[in-house]
Amino acid sequence: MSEKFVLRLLDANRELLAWAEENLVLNGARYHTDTTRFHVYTKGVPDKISIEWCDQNLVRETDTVIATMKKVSPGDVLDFHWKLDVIWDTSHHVGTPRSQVILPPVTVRQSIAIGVPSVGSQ
Amino acid sequence: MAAQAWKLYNKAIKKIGNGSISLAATVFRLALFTSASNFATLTLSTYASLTSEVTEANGYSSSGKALTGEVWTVGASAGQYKFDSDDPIWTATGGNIANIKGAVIWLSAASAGGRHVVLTASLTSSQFTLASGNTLTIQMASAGILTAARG
Repeated sequence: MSEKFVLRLLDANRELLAWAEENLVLNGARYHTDTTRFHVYTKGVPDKISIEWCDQNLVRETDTVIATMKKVSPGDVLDFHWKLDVIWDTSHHVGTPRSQVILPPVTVRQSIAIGVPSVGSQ
Repeated sequence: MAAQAWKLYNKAIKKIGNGSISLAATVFRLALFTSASNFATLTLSTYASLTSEVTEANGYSSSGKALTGEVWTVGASAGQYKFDSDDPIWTATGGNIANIKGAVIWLSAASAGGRHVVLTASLTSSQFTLASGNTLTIQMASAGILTAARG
């Protein structure tokens, strides 16, 4: 079963510069690493990356990996190598509840269809 | 964009039972709400009690969109009937439709007191904005919006 993560590249004002979605299969308590590709669509200076674990409603943010980054522009492609820490294992939830973090909504740049299951099916 | 299943509002169950809401009606609407909304509060009764609907702009109209094709048809077996409708579609035109999180199906009526909320669903785990020029389709399941079964 995969878990959905939404990653946001934010500037110092928490404006959204780019975002990406990852669906990862967790592997027990082991570390999981992945590379996320951001396609920048708003110019700015990256300040931090937030990682939202959607199903758990948890958010963690990091600024260490982009401390040296310069201004980005629309069309730029950035690869972010990250590690799903053991403390985000399903039995050890550490992070900030999503409700306590202000995150900009992601912008969907393609037509989408959302299937809604019928009453009582979940 | 995994959505959660439709849920009946508590009072909607009662209103369906006493006839205040007729599921034979064809005047339902589907409206969209932001993450700041109370749409998931199942004790709500009327459309007026909902907060933080998606802002009217760029192809989204306040109060949402009229459902079409509401119908009761046989379900997975002869002992089941499902309530279904066509899939509503929004197109972001001239700008983005911002901050989409949840949906509510409600009964349209002339008076505010008759505008009963019926069903709600969370469309996504993370609020999103639909960029201009794209469409959002709410796909009703093959089992319909809800199914009544003999048990």
